[in-house]
Amino acid sequence: MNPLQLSPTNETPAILFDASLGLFKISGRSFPMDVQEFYNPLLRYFKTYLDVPQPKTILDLSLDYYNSTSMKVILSMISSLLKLHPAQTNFSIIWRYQADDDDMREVGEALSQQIGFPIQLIEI
Amino acid sequence: MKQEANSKPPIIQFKGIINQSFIAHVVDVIDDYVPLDLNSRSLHRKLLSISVELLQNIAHHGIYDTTDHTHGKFEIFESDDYFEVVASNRGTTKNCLRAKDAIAFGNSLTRSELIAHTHTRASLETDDSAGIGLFTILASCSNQVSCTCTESNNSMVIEMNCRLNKTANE
Repeated sequence: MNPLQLSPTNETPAILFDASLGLFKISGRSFPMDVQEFYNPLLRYFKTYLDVPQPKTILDLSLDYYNSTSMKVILSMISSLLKLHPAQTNFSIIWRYQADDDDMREVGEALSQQIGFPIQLIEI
Repeated sequence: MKQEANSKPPIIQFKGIINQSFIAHVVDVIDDYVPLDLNSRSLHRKLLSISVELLQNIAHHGIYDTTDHTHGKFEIFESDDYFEVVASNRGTTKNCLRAKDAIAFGNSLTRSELIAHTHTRASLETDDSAGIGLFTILASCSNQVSCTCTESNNSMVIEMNCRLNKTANE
């Protein structure tokens, strides 16, 4: 699978999905009006990758702002990872937030608690 | 609440069809108006969050009467202490009752509980994004949300009024 790369817009995040590296990065703002139109091709790529995944998969999230429907998509990706790797040893989830951005750190912590998986919280 | 915030001219005051291009315009205005520096990053994100969730909800779920373009309304006011975001549109009685119930429930939760509740709802397979958006708004403005429903021309006019304190972490 060739890498899938999208430049950010004012409403959509930068995307770097590279199946050969097992790396899935989403960064910037995410509040597309039509969340399906934007994310469905990405989810298809991700699900195809999960059929033959790398030994290690990294979901790297660095979001300045996201709307509720974008969070639904991100949780769907995380849910797919959790289903694929019930032992939770073959993947990591990184949640990057700006230094002193307590709100986004709090969201990352809540997300980690919600899914019952230790998300790496990294201050940038 | 709105009268108290009217000491300054409105940042945005709009009536008409709310669509993607208008939402993009509102985002640009917020980006220009509230600087993204260290002290106001949280405020900026919360104002953006409240506005985008309200507007996308109207764009997706509002009922438009093509002969009357005056019922889609969006306003942002500012006082020294807070921003106030007001949005209204026509909707169904069912949507109005759901919004009121969700606000009543959300007002009983803390911010942390609201964030957790939002994630729980977002992880469900059902496509209830409007409900998730409402809890996101409640978390952003510390439960200072009110909703009024007024019957007009055989449908309901739903008005949401959200206050966002400028003081950090409120």
